[in-house]
Amino acid sequence: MNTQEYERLAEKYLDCIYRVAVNGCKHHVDAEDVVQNTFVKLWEKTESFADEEHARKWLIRVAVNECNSLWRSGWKRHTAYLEELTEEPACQTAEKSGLYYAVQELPPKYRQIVYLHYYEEYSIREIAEMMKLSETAVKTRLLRARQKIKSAMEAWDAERG
Amino acid sequence: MQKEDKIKTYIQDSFREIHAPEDLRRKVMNMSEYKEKKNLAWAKKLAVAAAVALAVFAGSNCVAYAMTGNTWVENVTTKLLVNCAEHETEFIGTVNEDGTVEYHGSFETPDGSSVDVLIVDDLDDHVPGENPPVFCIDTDFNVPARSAIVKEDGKVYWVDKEIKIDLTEELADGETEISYEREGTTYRYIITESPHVPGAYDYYLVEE
Repeated sequence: MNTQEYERLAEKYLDCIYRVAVNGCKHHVDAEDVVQNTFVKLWEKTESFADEEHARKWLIRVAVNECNSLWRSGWKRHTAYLEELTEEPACQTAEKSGLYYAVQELPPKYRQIVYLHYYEEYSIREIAEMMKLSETAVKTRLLRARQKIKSAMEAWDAERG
Repeated sequence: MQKEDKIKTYIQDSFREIHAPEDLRRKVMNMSEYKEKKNLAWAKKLAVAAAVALAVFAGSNCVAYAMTGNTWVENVTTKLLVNCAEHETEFIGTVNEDGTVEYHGSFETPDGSSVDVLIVDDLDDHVPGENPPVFCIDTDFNVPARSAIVKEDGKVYWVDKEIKIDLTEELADGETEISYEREGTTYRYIITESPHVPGAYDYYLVEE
């Protein structure tokens, strides 16, 4: 890929891919590895993209695969981390703050789907394609994630009276 | 606003505030420079990773010992890729309460010794009886598998050949660091409670 096109895509999609990585990993260090590996693959890519959406989906799919590779690696699986994911967005209201923690408490496999569905606004079918899962599996995870978020939010509301 | 819409809006707001750190942005934007450094770093990282991986596998017996209350699932014969070489390996899969599946198996190294393997996977991703998962590990057969965490009479020990260190009290907080010398070499390990297997420990060699 030529430098100009690489820089354009990197500038445009870095935050998006970072969010995919953060939501697919438990640790900040892993998320950064995923982002770097994803953009190394973009840098090394020789074929061009059909359109902008093709590039975006390709990058997300690579990032999802990179997250999965981490979890399938015996080395990563058994490595202890001293640095946890510490970055937290500044939430404007207590309710948003509660929701943020509820989402962060979700296992990565749910969190990633929540991100792709609610933020990137991909359909169940598109997520299934990107994550190489069945549509049923995506629906199930989304449903479970929603249930977990709702019950966490209810608990949060109850705590605040 | 409906509850579902509200959740959607809040989720969008909270994700919108997450941005890639500046340091990461610099690395990604200067890819040609970054790639040169990464190639050098990987040569070093692989050597350490290989040594650590084998040490963890050597310790998987104690992990098995620590597991209680699991439901037996099935024996699966699947491919284990060790340094890209295929080994037909029999694994025993057990389901944990947290929805993970632990696969225990072993493979033979070129010198004929047996190395235990423990792999933790998601139950959702591998339905028992269908499409047995393929596992991949990288290791270095030149590093002898000799160190391990052993549980005896309610105590936890680090064992490395003739060296045996009682870690029971040190691990009360969930993490400890040990350092000792054997055959003229200093070894330093960080040992933590496993986030995957209750009652088990992960450990890795700290690079000097």
